[in-house]
Amino acid sequence: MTSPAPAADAPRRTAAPPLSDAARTLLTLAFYGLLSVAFTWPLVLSGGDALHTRQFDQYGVVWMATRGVDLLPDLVDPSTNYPLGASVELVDAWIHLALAAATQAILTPLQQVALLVLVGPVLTAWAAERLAARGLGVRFPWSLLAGVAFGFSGLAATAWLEGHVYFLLDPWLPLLALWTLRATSRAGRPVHGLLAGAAWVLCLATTAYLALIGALVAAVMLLRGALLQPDRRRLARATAPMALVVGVASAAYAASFLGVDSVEETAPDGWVLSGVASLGGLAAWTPAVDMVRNHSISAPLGAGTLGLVLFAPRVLRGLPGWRTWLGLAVAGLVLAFGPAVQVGLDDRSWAATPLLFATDLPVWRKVHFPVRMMWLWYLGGGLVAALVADRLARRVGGAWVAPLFVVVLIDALVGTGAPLRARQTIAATPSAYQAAPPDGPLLDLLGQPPFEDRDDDFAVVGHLLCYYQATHRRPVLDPCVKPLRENPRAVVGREVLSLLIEAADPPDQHLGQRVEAVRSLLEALGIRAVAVHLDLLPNEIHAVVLGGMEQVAAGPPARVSSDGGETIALFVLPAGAPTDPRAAYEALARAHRGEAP
Amino acid sequence: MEPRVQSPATQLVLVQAASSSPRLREMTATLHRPTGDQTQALVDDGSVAGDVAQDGIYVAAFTGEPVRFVDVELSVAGAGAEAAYRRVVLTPDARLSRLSFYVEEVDGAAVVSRAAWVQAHGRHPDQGAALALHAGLGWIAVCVVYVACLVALGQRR
Repeated sequence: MTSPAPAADAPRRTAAPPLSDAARTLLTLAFYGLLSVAFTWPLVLSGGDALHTRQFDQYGVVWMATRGVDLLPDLVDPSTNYPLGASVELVDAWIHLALAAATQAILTPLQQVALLVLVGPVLTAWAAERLAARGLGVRFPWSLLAGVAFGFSGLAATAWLEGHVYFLLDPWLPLLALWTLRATSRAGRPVHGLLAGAAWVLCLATTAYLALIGALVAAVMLLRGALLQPDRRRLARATAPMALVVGVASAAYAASFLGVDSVEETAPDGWVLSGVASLGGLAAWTPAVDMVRNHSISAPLGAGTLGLVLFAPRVLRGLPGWRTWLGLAVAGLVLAFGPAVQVGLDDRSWAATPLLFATDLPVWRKVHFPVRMMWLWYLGGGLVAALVADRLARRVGGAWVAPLFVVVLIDALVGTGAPLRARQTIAATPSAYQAAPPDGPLLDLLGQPPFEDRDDDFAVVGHLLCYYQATHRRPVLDPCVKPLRENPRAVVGREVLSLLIEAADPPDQHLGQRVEAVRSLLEALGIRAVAVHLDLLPNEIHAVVLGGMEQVAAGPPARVSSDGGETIALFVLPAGAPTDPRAAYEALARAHRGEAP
Repeated sequence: MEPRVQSPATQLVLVQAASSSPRLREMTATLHRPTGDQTQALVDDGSVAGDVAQDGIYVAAFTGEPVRFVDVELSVAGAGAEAAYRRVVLTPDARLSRLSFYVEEVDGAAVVSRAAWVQAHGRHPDQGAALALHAGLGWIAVCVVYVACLVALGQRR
């Protein structure tokens, strides 16, 4: 891929003494490190003791960081989704889980997450910079532009602000590209293929979206290698280890993950539209994006990157390799729109794209957020932009091109809006939970009539309750590994609230029977404590629910707390002798689904 | 390691609303809390910290212990009948949470809706988003012109 510069592109001025590799590396890490501090401001001031984010996925990430060591040995989590338990095979972020397990002894969960947010983009950007320098021959400091475009992109801001911060640690994709380039070059060796395969596995262990993008990058690179590499036997030898590693990992992943029934797989068609790129959003971030269905999706193209990419055909004429990256970047952009492109700002104007046909494909239904394919744009576009900047600097002198650094910094900090959009959320857990029996399952009771978790502002609740569990450690009914189609907390809570409210109805002659029904249900399930979330129940039914629970628990709440951002009344239930909590729950769930007993 | 957390001691909840109709500017905000309701009239006279007087953005400020959710009610008098919005909503920031609303008159009746932000002088919130979009497009144009100049300069040399 690297090619000598044409004579016309020879540096115009006597260059300063070249930097040593160590000095260049230090400068690179310092530049990206300072940018990361600004990008995630004011996270660095928190000392890892506060939650800085915008939406709620970070609650789940902190939960994962807390549970890491406990989950890894047998890959089963019996303490959530009680009484069914949850399989850790549903986890989509194995790298994060492994890092959490490795650092659990020295860092708190909040510190782990803060460190990931601060350091992740630095390593990601550095890997992209290395790909630009070693894969495409871009000189320092122009190679830095590729790292800024990839590591500090709109999707990086989205990952941080929505909370799925494991996306931020992705040096694997640039490394996959670099090693695939090596493997398919004339000097390709099996070790290059092996390293490329390992990089793809690390993409897969970070998230399936990056694995999908990585597969596309690797396939295009292999195709290009097959067309350009005259020694086909050498090519086959160099890439065989990659094929082997990728094949084994894919088979293992498909066997364990694809058959699991999670919310995403059963999502209605309309869901897909919430995760696609919008036409207006390509230009800039607007405050409205943080209000759309509990998401913060914003993927601006980057004005600096776009400006440079547009002139690539003119500036890079005659150079090899860049068209492949431009093609990949454009492919990422097209895929990001998914089956329909949002053409207006009002979230109501859509136009079908040629990918609409793909919505019927089972694989496509798992691509819940097509906008994440924009990572391909940020990598490919950033590489081409850095190459264009390098060539322009050779022609007109670095001083004329240097303002591009100001441009890309404005893109990263203002264009994505990252430091402007973050909020500090309450990190403490309500103290009432401490009154619950240490090992007994705990039911969180909350809801708006008709007690369905449909309201946008209630979508956070499941994640929040898992975040609480990371501190109080009692088994809970919410599925914390991944949202499932049926949430036991919602099923049981709905039944309990309905019985308590009906019991309080004055004409009801069966008050005692209904209270007894609640008591029997909770005993059959083995529930030892009920946390009544008063902020999440309508004021009008507070007295009814608290009065009913006092009868069920045969006494007042063991503790009422108003710290941790919520008012919670915690009731402790007498220890019973549940025979089969799982069977009791399944009977209740069948009744709620309207199925025969 | 055991979790260690820091949380702010107090939280300011700003309920702010803009109205497109001069007849619908008498607004009252109520926070329904388990410990009791708090009600305030929304004002635009600059008396609330940070409020710009007479800019069309009406504000009520509530201070208390940080909460994650609040049961908020916004009542609007005028247009012959009273309209209200009430729902449990997230307070996005433990220190300062802005809950924004937009009030408009539809067929003679007041309609209250949540908004990402409020615009001065009763302008619709979407106008703010359009402004940000235009700024983004303008910035792209500046960058494209700059690179075009570099390319032209390179060809002349």
